[in-house]
Amino acid sequence: MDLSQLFNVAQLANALALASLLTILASGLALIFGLRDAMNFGHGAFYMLGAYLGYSVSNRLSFWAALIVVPLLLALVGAVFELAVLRPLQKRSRMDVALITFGLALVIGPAIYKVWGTAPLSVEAPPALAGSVQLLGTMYPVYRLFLIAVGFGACVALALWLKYTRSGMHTRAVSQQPHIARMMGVNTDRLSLLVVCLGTGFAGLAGVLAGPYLSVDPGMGASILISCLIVVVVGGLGSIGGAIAAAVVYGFIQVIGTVLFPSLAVLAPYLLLFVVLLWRPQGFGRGRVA
Amino acid sequence: MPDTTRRTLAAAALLSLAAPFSFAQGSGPIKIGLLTIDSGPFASYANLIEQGARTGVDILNAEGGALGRKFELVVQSHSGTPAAAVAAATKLAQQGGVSVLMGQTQSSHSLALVPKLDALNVLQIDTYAQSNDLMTKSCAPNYFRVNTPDALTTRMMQDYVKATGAKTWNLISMDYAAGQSFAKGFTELVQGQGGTVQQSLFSPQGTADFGSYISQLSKPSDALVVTLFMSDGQSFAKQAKQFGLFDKYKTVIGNGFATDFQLEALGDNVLGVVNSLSWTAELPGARNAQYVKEFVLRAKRKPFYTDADLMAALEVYRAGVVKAKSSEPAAVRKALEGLRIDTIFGNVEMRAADHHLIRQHGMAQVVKGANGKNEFVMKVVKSGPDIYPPPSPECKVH
Repeated sequence: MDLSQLFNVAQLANALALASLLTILASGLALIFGLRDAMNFGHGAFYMLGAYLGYSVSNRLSFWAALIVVPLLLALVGAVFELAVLRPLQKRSRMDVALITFGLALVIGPAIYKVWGTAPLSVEAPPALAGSVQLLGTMYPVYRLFLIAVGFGACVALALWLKYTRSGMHTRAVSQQPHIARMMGVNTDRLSLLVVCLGTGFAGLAGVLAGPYLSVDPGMGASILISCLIVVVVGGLGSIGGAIAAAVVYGFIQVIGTVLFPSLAVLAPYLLLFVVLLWRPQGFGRGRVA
Repeated sequence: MPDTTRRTLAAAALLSLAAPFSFAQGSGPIKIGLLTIDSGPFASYANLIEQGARTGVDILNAEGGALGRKFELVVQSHSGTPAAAVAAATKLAQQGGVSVLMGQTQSSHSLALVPKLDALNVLQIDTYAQSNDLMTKSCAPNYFRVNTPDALTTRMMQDYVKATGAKTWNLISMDYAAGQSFAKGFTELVQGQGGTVQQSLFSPQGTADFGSYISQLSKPSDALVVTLFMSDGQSFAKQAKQFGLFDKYKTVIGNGFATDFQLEALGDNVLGVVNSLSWTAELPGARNAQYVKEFVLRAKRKPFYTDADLMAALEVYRAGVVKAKSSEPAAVRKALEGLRIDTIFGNVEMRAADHHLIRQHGMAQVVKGANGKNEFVMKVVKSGPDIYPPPSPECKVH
């Protein structure tokens, strides 16, 4: 057990890189839950679809093109998801909607295997991000620093949109007091469409960013969904700020667990969930979509 | 319901239950059960395993099968846990009517299956699991193995490790049976040669981000050994390249890490890595050359070592059936013990004491080929009798 690893700048950056990816994904999930009151168990499948589309677009055009095109494509998928699934089911119970989104994941997964096959695919970082830089005496991959910047930048942009724009204000209003917001003239249907598209677009962005960082393989959706759900619950259901804080804590817990207790590291996120639910069941966040 | 109708129905039910067994033992095709994994890091290569097995079965059937009967492959996939493997094997034995099992059986799966083989009345001819326990305390009468166990890989590495001159080692291995078993054996090997293992890390199966492991492995050391498989190995290779990890070591050795069927996907991330490799298409022998030719014709690709292990398992099984003049597991088991068989590996022995096929193993390095594609170059090949450890007194197969 080497405790100096905990203060190693590379390990700190590793924690932030993982946190960054989870933040993007969890923000999207929190948005959808916050506004639609729907726990989307298909979010991991959307992320996986984004990663596979990112692989194809990167190969045909470039990584930079994928960074723009794929979130837009996933936003379109989100529009279909909202209009064909969430809206018709909005009067059904939360469990019904959750189960249907779970079923959606079971359909999207095999569809992806049919198109791209089951072998893991490799997405390389673009040349500008392919090398390493000196980070306080340690060589560290440029791409991970890019991921940290884009991930947290996207979430800051989301937070600014929620706080300072009209549509952001409407989103917060509908998530906290949907009936009053409707009475005040907010078009909740149009807002729901916008928010769900944003949520799935974020899943697509996370998928593209994950390609050069991790591996594009058939199990990626299921494995990250569990992490994402932990982050959303620990952060407070529907809270973006809480999700960001929870993702950072999650990233550090993972790294600390790997260094200090390697054989128990896989349990670390669940222990975090357990402790937070006991100590502060509402999570870190202040409220829904805040 | 009249008595005669009841009796007729009961007789029909009994006959229908017995039918799979009667076909398995007497006439009709000889059914071979193939276990594959449909989720987790190993799922990506399930299709490859199935294709390798089907091609092997087709080749043997074209040669006439055994005892005038053709072989038939019955495939059953499962989610990849030991319990799921046992359930799938049970289904193959009881509903599929198979006499023998093979396929994608990780060490933990085989260790779970071995105690059940007798009750299921099937043999298992393993082509996948590497754990040393399967040739020591977890031996069983109905269990046979044709692929190379960890002990063999460690032994192969012994000379290579000495030749590198490396004194300090870092290890990263999968955190389950195969990884733990190999790490233990390799640590003993290094210590036996006066070296030290500075770090021995274990990562859970399905790890996506190896960053924290790679950062730990950046501590100075002469050499690195990587025992990570399938998509975990691919993720690690890519991320290690991003961190420039392999450049920090004089030598990087892979165990199941840089495999031939993943070489294209791994790309330049594993250039220079030396990996244990038990078979290549270029190994000498007329039977091997014929197999490669037939395989390419039928499967439209070159065979990998996993295909070769499956082919050898099928050849071993055929030889046992022919000698026993039956596909009844107890008879085939007895026939296989001590049998010398002509396989694609050459004329090799199925050792009676522990049911292991005494076959070759080697070490190969990933280099850039003349055509610009990465390929393996064999650095050393040793024949089975030179490298297999003697049978363990813990192994009880009789």
